[in-house]
Formats: sequence, C-alpha cells, structure tokens
Amino acid sequence: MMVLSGLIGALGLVCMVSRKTLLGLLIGVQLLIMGSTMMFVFAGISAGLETQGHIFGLFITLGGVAQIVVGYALAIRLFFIRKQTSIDDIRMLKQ
Amino acid sequence: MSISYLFAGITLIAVILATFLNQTRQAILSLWIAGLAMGAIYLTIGVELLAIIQWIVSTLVTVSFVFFAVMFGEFNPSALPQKRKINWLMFLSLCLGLAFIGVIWLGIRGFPAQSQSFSLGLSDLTSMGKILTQEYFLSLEILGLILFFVLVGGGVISRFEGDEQE
Repeated sequence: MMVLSGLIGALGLVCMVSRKTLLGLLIGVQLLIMGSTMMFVFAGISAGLETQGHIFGLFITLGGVAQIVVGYALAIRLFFIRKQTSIDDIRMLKQ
Repeated sequence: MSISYLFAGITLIAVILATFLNQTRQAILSLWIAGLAMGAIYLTIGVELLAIIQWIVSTLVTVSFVFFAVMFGEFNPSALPQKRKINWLMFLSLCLGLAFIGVIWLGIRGFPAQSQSFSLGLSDLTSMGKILTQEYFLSLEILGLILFFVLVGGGVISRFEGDEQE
C-alpha cells in the first residue's frame, strides 16, 4: 500500500509536468496530496502509531484544500489578465 | 484485507487515467473516482473520519474543477484536446517517481512483517477526537487560521478589477 501511495504521488508529479493547462496542474497537485496522505496513514500503521498517522493525514488533506483554493484564485486572476489558462506562455503574472 | 486491495486497484487505474487522459472532463471524473476509492480504502482499514473527509474533499474539488473548466472554456465542444508535453522533464519526473517508489520499497522492508498488516478499530472517532483536542489542539487552531486566511486571500486575489479588462 505504501508503494501504491508512492505511485500515486509519482503519477501526480508526471501529471503536473505534462499537462498544459492550470486545471491539469491542479489535478496533479491533488494527486500528489492524495498520495502523501495515504503515505502518512500507512506509515503510521506500519510503525504502530495508527492514530498519529491518521491525524497527520487529516492535516495534509485539509492543508491541500488550502493549496487548491490558492491555485483556483491564481487561475481566475490569470484568466482575467490573459484570457487563457495555458501555462506555456506564462512567464510572469504581471500584465 | 482483499477488499482493500480491490479498492487499491481501482484507485491506481483511476489515477493512471486521470494522469494520461487528454480530455479534461474524463480526467476530472477519474480524479473523483480515485478519491472515492481512496476513501473506501481508508474505510476498510478502520479510518472512518479520514474516509469521510476524503470523500467530501474529493467531491467538492471535483465539483469546483467542473465549474472552473466550464468557466475557462475547456468543456467547449470546439475546444481541441490539449496536446501533451512529452519532453525530458516528463521522463525526469517519471524517473523521480520510480526512484521515490524504490526508496519506499527499500524502507518498508525494514519493518517487522506483522506490523504491515491492518488492524481495525484502534483509531475510532472517539480516540481521534480526544487526541486532536488534547495533543494537537494548537495544530488544529493553526490549520483553521490557515484555511481562514486562504479563504480571504483567495477572494482578494481573484477579485474582479475593471482596469484589467482590455
């Protein structure tokens, strides 16, 4: 299961690198967060510290929500400024 | 135990589809299925609180992805499927991911075999709530403050300004 969580995180990294839009980037971030949450949960189980692992997974999940919200806000800002969300042409957020 | 691995297989397939599908709506649907299956894994190993939170977060994130994809025009029928960047960065990230999995694989070999099995019922809601409010209360407060500031900051960043319109 820990290998599976590492695989999910690795695929999230690939998704972040290979996609061309901001939403694709955020999908990769979400996958990374899911993988890291799972990693903490199963590492806690393996180490015999189940509850602590679960609580850290809870914190990571809710912290990931905050990151996704900031990503949405930046995507909206970019859409207002550039009228598109492709990340290929982004070099600076300033207009 | 076997049903956990069934959900793990569903999660892995959904994550692979979410990573490699070109259509945004299919990728978002796969991400939702991955989140639900991951919550089911948590439920089968006795982590009810995290399972419920994972389901709620996955569903809300999926709904917001659909909303933003519609707003950004990615669901427009005339929009062409995005072409993927297949370059050295992608192969580098694949190599990094494989190295990450290898490190984890080497690391878990050091654990005793019996501790890698799942135990049910040791992390019920009561004990998790007690530990959260007694041992991790400051962390919980800081997390709440972060979420509050992110809510306000997200609104400030994404506010509409007429001057930006050309």
